[in-house]
Amino acid sequence: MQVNFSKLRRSLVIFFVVCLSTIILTSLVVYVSAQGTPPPNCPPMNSVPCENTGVDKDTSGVTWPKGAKVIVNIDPSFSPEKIAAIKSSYNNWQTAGSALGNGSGVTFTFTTLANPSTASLPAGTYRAQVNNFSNPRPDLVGKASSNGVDVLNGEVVGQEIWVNRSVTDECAVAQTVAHETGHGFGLGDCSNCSRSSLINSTSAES
Amino acid sequence: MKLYRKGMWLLTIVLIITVVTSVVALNSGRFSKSTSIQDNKDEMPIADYSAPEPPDAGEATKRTAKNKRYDKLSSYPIKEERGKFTRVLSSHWATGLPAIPVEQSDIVVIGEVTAARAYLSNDKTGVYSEFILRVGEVLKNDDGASFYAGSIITAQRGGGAVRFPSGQIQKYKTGGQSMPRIGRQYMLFLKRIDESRDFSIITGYEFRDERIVPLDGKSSGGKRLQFDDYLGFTASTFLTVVRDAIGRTTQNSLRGDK
Repeated sequence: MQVNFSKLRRSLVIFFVVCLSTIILTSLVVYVSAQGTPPPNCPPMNSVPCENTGVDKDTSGVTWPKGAKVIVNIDPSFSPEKIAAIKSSYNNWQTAGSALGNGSGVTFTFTTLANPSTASLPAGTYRAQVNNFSNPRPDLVGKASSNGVDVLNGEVVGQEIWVNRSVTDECAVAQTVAHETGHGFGLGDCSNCSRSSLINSTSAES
Repeated sequence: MKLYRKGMWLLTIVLIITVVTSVVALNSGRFSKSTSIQDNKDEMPIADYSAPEPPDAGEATKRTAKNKRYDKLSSYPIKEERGKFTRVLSSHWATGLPAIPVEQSDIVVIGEVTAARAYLSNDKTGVYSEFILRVGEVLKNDDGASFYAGSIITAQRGGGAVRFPSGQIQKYKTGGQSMPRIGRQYMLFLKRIDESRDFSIITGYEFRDERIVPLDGKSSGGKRLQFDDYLGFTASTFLTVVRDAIGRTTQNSLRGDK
């Protein structure tokens, strides 16, 4: 039996091209769904290409441990629509962290406890909290949101997000939470990024 | 051929040593922005987690009222963690704030920090730092109270370090901000807190070796902020800039443009 090397070579090239195209296409689909899937009835959250914001210098770019299971407690005083919007933001980040995305493997599950500090955290899990605030702290006046990141031994082990009650639009809430969640992944603010970019720091202004 | 190779190696080594030495020498000789400003980083007043209340009932009441401002700062009370722990708050506080925030300030003063201490909120969810400032010069005073050289002002800023009974120290800070230090001279932009006698620090600039080092921005170890535009200014030039800004604000408010 004679082997036709030229045919074999051609088949191999076609095979590799198909594989590569599939990987690129799948990554693109995951990327687009992670960045742009809005909550129901919202306009696309981010129609601009991903922009390089650099690391969050305030936290030296530390992030959740790889594969962290994060329990997100959402303040029950948020309306059901806003809770759904917040969940969609976290789900987008989870999709972005899949093996075909950035590979962080960070996953989020949700609770809506009024007093989260009394709840015990299952072993091996981390916590995040989203607050519905109307705190008159001077540094928060006029701001749509704020966030705090707990760093233990060089890794993020907790995050707390405050969303101003004056942000009434659920789509804006989703964008705000998506922006703040990015800080937990070590992303910095970007004042030079386009207005429609989630990580533009001025988009966190109310 | 061998001799040629040896010669090339020697030349390369000499070249590397020359370049490294030159870079080190150049960096040590100038007013180094990167090293000179970094000594503010992470230095903050400390609160004792188990500090007793002030023995004087009046003082205790005053302190409780001050602590209350920082209650409910987090859903998770401060507790000792196993390892090196820091909580970094990022409130985009500097977004939209001018580098010289004259309009946002009730008073602008130059003075020396004579004492500093951190305190926990009543519910132990927050920590704040309190600074005693001896006024040297008042540049702006829109406040009802009169201030003059020698006046004492109490100023606060959110954040600080907490020392636990075990000796472990944990830090709670706002991204982009650092804390004034005892014995140093600052120009502080202050805002009155509610109806109290205290002020909160909006931002500040340190006078160091006749030069200006912003309190906030890169000196906090964080990213560059608008305040860093004035890093390395001579004290006299900076004073002129601030006085001009205050003059413009006063004229605007007299014209009713404010």
